[in-house]
Amino acid sequence: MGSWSVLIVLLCYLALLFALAFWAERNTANRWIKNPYVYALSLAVYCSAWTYYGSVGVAANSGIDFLTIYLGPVIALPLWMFIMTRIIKIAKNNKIASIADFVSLRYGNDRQLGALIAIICIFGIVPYISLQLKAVSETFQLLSGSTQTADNIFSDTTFYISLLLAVFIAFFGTLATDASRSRRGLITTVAFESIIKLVFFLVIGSYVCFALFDSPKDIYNQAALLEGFESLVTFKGLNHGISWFYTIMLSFLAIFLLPRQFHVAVVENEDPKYIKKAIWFFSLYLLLFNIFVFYIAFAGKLSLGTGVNPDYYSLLLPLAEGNTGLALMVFIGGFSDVISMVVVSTLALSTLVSYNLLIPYGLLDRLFQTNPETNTRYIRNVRRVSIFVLVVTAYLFYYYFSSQLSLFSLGLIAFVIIAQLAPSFFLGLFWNRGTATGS
Amino acid sequence: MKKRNLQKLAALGVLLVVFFNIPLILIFSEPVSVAGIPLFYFAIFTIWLLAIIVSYTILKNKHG
Repeated sequence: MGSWSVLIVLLCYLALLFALAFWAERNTANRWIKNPYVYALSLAVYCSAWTYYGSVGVAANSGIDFLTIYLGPVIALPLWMFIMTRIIKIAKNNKIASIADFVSLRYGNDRQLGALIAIICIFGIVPYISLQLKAVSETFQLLSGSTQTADNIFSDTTFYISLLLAVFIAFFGTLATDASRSRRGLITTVAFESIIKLVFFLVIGSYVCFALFDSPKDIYNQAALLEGFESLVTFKGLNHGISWFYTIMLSFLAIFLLPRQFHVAVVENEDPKYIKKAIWFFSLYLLLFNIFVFYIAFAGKLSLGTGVNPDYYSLLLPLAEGNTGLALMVFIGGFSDVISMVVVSTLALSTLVSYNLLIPYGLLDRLFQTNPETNTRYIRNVRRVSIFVLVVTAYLFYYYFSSQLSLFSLGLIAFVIIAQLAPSFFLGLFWNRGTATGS
Repeated sequence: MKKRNLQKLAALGVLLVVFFNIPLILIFSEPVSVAGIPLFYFAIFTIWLLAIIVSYTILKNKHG
């Protein structure tokens, strides 16, 4: 398949998302948009390209560990009923727009603390975004069959895709100046993408299980003969059990603390009652996403061997059979993952950058001097510029550094960095006497 | 929401931590299969599904 035809499909898909966001922004009261399922689906921004491609790679290389990323949230979800309802209540009463606002509010609206949190988040998340861009560019190359690497930035397709995404975020993310108000258009597209990626992943899973092989049992029986199979489906001693527990705890924290998670779960929440539906629905969503991972991983191992990157088995399997249509579908599914993750993360980060770093430190004096209307326009422009800067930084990071790192490891590094916020976040929630210096 | 139901959800969360970790999960750490599903995955997915059903039953009551 030529790279132009792939690109045209991509652009059509992006146009569809633009249209959907535009429609949703106009019809905010529509019952297709305003319901708890949209909220629950938008939480699935948790599943990035890391889930879509990375899990399969992990299942093929090191076994069961990919599950820990989902078990943390599954443990956390029943507890949402007290923790999240409480967070949302506080956030709504104080017009909280980001995690930095939230934590610094609990310590007396400390400006430096807010800035510190913003910086931590940026260091954790920008590489993570660049990772997603990497997934787009690699899958794009696999699908279009081109082996040439771009010799400079301006001949690289990924660069233009990232710019388009930045336009999308800048337009639909900054319609209202008050960053704590919800953005229906954006959230609707995220929910739509969540459906797309799950359905496409299930389709490729069933294709692998029932069309390429006779049944799941068939894959298992053949895989069981492979060398080292036993170590991929069981624990490797006590140390493994401890690191398993540790990663579960990390993902438990991530579902609260990742800026994009905080954004969809708290800032974009319209009604705290939605939590009730989200608890079981989101858990079910994650379960469905994980069912076929094992089979895709081992089907890939069996039919493609070790010469290819296991991260992309789900794309390579249909390609190896000459089924380009299905491969294109998988690619669009993965692309949806990337878009929703990049869009929400960048939006959340741009709020952090402009409200917790730029405005308090550089621009506050200027805002006092002018009238409110120019201010509104001014703040909006600051946010738009920060969106572009973030996306371009993430792109440059990808371009220069991330070519050697795998999806899973970089994602985990982001989790660890964000977990540094945990003590001040949870203590602040339930303990009222802590101080800003302490946290 | 009733306090009793909140307590049930909290208990569910704690139980999940226990069931998803060593030592309990080691019971299922054997290279055998249940109808083509490796036992380990089968155990995790079953507990997961049970957790969904339990939380659904607790939460479905509109006035609860």
